[in-house]
Amino acid sequence: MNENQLKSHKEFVYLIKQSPAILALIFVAVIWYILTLIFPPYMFPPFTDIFKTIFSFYKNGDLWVNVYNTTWRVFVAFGTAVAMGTIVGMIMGFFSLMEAGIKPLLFVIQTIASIVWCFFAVIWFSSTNFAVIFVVFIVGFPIITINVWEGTKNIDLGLEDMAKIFGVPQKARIRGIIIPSVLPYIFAGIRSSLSYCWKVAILAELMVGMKGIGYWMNYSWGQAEFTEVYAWVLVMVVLMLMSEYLLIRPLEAWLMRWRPKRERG
Amino acid sequence: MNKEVKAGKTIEVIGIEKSFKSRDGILKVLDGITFKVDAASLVCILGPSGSGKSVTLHIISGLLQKDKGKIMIGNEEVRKVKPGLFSFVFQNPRLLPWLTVEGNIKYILRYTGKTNKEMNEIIDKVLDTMHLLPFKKYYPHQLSGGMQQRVALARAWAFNSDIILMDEPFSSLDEITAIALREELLRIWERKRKTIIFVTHNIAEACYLADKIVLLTPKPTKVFKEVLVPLERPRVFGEDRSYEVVKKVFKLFEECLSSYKVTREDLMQEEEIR
Repeated sequence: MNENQLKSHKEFVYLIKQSPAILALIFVAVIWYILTLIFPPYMFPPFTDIFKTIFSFYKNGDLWVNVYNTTWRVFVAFGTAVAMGTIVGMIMGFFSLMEAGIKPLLFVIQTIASIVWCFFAVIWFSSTNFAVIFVVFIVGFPIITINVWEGTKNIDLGLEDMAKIFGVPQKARIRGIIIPSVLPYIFAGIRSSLSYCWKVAILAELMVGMKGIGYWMNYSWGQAEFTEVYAWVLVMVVLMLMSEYLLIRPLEAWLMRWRPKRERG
Repeated sequence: MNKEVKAGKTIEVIGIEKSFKSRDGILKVLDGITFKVDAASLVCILGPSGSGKSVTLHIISGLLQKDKGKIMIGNEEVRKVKPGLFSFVFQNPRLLPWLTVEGNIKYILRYTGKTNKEMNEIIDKVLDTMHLLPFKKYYPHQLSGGMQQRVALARAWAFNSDIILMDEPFSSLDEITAIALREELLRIWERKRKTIIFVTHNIAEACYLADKIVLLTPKPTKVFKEVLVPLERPRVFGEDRSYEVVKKVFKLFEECLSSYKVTREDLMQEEEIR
């Protein structure tokens, strides 16, 4: 096989491997279609109605404003959660005293339901952007922290010893050994908390009353405009998938390009 | 042999003692280890498993603290890790998986005050002598275990310290690969002599490599005997004239174990416990 053939072959294999995901989406669409035939449109509105509604959002400008509002809140909150979680997780991994102290706090944070955090946020920060950001942060932060903490404990101390012997200074050991060792765990934390953070952002917006996708979803619900609810849900799903597949995964693949590719067959 | 360069420093190990705390109390591992390594010579530390060979080496390097005793390098006492004094080849390669072969060597050269050009020259040269040049851009996981250990050896050589410490570097490799790497080691060492301390439990390996073998007793460990290896260099692994030396060292080894009332079964048991 020459190089071009090899490339097209690889693309073909890739498509085959992705086909279950595509088939699953088609399956859901078919089920939805069948449901629209059986039940009245207020329960299961047909696709055409949902897309028309989204298009109307687009035309009156609601779509971009709300996508923008929700997205920037999630990104600021989530970015802060990743940064803080990485630092706190590493501190826990390196200092057992800190570990013993912070561990119960993390569990307390995780035990409190996100809706309760919404109440707290309103009490403390009233109806502000910061309140929404706070709730999203408090949900993402412990997940990232616990992952990084785990990762810090798994750092190969043999590599540290090696670098010490060869006189690599501490700063360079942190940059060259510790950060790359923890990176896979940071991404594990990101993967298991990002979609969760999106969901909580919706909840926080409607609870706190800040305009965004969650807010309007609730509004449409109140007006019994169920097609609009579905339209916003679809927008949300697309946003979530985009943040995962267009941002996080490529970033992970690029940062960890040294990793062995798991190719089977 | 006329072109050989001699480098390296004398190492004196004087009365090293080391105990570890364990669940059953205090375990004395080293009980007064004393030996001397001449500059630019290759000394093997040979001992049964669990005899604290590796502990001795880690104490010499400063990675592990001693309870008593003194380590003299040249005329200087060394108490903790002194950057740049040693290279170390560990039992496993200890390469950074996220860096290429080239990157791994560069990682440790970067802090020795060399320019980028100098570093690249050193890397190319050392990879060339170790027959690794075609694998310069490979990541460790793309290489076999033997190749990875070869990279670790190249890294130690590139660092160009006066002293190289080796902790059973070939023990996890298959014998064919191990033989090839031993030859490689002697080849580069004979070209540029440095002081090497090589820890092993393999008698044939010790007799092939060493100028002098330091034979250790089981725990609590002392030096049982020092054996000079009279074989002329260059040597060939497994050659006839080495048999006498191997036989002699093997006999000493048995003698050492029996005087400590340690049977082979004990050693096997200990291996299992660890």
